[in-house]
Amino acid sequence: MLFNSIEFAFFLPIVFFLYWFVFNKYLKVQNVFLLIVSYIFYGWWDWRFLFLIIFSSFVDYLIGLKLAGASSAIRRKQLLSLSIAVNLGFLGFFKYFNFFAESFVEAFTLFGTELDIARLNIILPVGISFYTFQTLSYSIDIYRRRLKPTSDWIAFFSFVSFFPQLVAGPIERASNLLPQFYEKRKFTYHEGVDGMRQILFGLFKKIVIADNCAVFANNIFNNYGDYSGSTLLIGALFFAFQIYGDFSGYSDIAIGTARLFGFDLKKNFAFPYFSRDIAEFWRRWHISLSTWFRDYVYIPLGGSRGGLWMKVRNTFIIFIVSGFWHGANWTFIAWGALNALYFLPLLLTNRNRVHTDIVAQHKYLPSIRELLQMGGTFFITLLAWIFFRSNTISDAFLYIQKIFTIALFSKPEIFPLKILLLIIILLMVEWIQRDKEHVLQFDVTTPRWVRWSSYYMVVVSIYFLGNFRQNVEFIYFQF
Amino acid sequence: MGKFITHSIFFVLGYLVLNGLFYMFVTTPAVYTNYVFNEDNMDQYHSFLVSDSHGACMKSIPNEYGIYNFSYRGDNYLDMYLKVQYLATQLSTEDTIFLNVDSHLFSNYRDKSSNAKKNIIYANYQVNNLLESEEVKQKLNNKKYFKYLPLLDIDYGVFYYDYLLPEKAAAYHRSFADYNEKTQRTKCQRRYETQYQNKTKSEKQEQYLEKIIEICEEKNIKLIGIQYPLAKMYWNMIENNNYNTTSLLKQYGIEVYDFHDLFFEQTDCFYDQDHLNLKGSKLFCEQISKLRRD
Repeated sequence: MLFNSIEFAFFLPIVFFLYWFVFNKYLKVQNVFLLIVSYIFYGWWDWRFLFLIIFSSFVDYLIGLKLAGASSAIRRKQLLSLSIAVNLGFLGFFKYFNFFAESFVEAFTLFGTELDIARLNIILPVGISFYTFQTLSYSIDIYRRRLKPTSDWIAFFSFVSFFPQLVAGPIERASNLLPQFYEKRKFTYHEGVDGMRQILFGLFKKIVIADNCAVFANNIFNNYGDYSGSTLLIGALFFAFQIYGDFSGYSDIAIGTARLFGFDLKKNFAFPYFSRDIAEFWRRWHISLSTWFRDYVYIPLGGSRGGLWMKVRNTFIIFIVSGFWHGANWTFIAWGALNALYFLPLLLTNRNRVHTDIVAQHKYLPSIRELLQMGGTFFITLLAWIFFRSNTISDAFLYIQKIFTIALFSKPEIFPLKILLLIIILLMVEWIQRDKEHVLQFDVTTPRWVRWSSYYMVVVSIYFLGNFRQNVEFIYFQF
Repeated sequence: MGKFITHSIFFVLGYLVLNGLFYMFVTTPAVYTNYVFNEDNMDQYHSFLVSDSHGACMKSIPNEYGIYNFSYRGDNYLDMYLKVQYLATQLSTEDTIFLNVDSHLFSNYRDKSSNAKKNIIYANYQVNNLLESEEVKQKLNNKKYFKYLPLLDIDYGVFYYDYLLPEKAAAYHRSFADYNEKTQRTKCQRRYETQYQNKTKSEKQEQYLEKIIEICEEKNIKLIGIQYPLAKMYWNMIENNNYNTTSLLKQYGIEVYDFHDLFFEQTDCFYDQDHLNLKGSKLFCEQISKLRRD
């Protein structure tokens, strides 16, 4: 079920009503209800893959219990390996089987041997990369003795399949989300209203920004050979805002929806396009994934503690793995490697934690220096997005090559002023609210008429300016 | 929770009030005056242009020549049928409908390209059996309920845009001649791929066209088929892919005027390979206005 669908518009209020008014007496009953509606939400897309999520939950639930009871280090390692093998096995099969098979064939073809390996017609189960990482973190945290396993299987299964964040994150840690299933949730007016605001702005980012940008980004990227450098630059800009609007919009709706049910999910985006260097960008973009890789891959590898070689190796590993997580294509790996190249100079000169505050805090405008830093960071991010969006690496290189020609200064063939204005408006409101959790978060002192007119303005903007012509799926569903 | 629900109800009520105001001040002029043909104007016009984007791109220029432009981009023959059956209830035997009979309108890609959800505004309940899409049928059933809730009806959004920014579409002022030959060829090729490559003749569109002919015969309204001007480069690409839209009209003895080569030597009359710009629209309207009976 898509958040921006009519089905969800009916699903959410019905579930909300039943959750707070019918199944609110007993915590267990409420959790069972959440589990059922989460499975309905997921099964709406393809019910067959429910078995996969149930199996994955079952394996990690059992392994969690066994890990707690195992005293020998070898036994604990075996159990953890089993969890990793099962989770990554599913992920590897459904997401990467064909990629490895094709790459294998291509590698042999280079040496003059023709191989014929069968390719499978595999459907990628929606959200597998997200819930797999969620269950993995549970087993790893128990292995590290940072988390106690749960014997409440309903709470655990509900944690894995919690519908607001099931298919595209934020990737929740068991240590944050699971305990929330043990305690009776309380509805507070402030949380409920703020959740609704976050959902509203999430819909704006998805329907107005991302889906409008998608039309032009798709056209330009799919026919990049026909356009001049200036148009290709606009295409890359549109993709940068398509992916931002799409994914951060989804996260906003997910976090807002969870708040309506009394849950607190992790922040996933913190106005990343106002970052002053690439390190800051990665602290603000897809935070739940970055921190997952940091805690479960980067730090166990030694992090930035070792010598030069170790720092370089670990940086490349984490960025390349992060790229590969996004999809079985060399373009994602190249995107990850490019980000590693951007990040390394900062790490090696110990400048990767220079910008940890909010840009131009307590000021209306940034300084020239900050503006240049933000512009520069955005530009290199834009170049990296070209790899992310292109169909092949050679397409990405050709795309970039065509940008940096004299035609960069020609009049663009495609110049949708309306969409560019929308992007500017988005950046303006984000700039004003950059010290908040989300754009529609208001202080209690803000007059009611200002708050309400803002809500109506967003609702009407979605209606007027949104792209309803195609029911565009969220990009991150494919990951 | 009580406060939350109360405020949510107030928010919804406020939204309904906003709908009412929107209906009065925006929907009425934008949809019921600007898009829907106003019955009060019926005496002013005796000729009507019914077409897809080929007519729509001329915006209000045909009106200046006494031909009411009743076209909309993306209309297929089902849409045109809905409009013609609406017009048929209003027109007299002295009136004329200029119908687009370009070959591409019989391509099966048109089955999917439809504005039926918008044009349901013209439909009466008798057309229910013609509508294949359940979504469109549902829209027809909900027509009266949603009339006063325009902010809940996303299908009309584009009309407000057209209304608030009339005649401002950049394309209208562009010239196909300004593109270099390579770009022109690419644009023609892309259009060809959309309309003809791996496409077949649509039986559905043929049936809808027959319905249009029948309704005009029944009401004794003069129907004239028009083939719109095309850029020479595009015509060269498509000439062997003719779905022969005109043969059906000829069977019924309906006049067809073929203007496809009218501007073969004037590429600056188009804004792309098959749509007229401001200059082309004026010249073309001069031609078709000569066919008026009134």
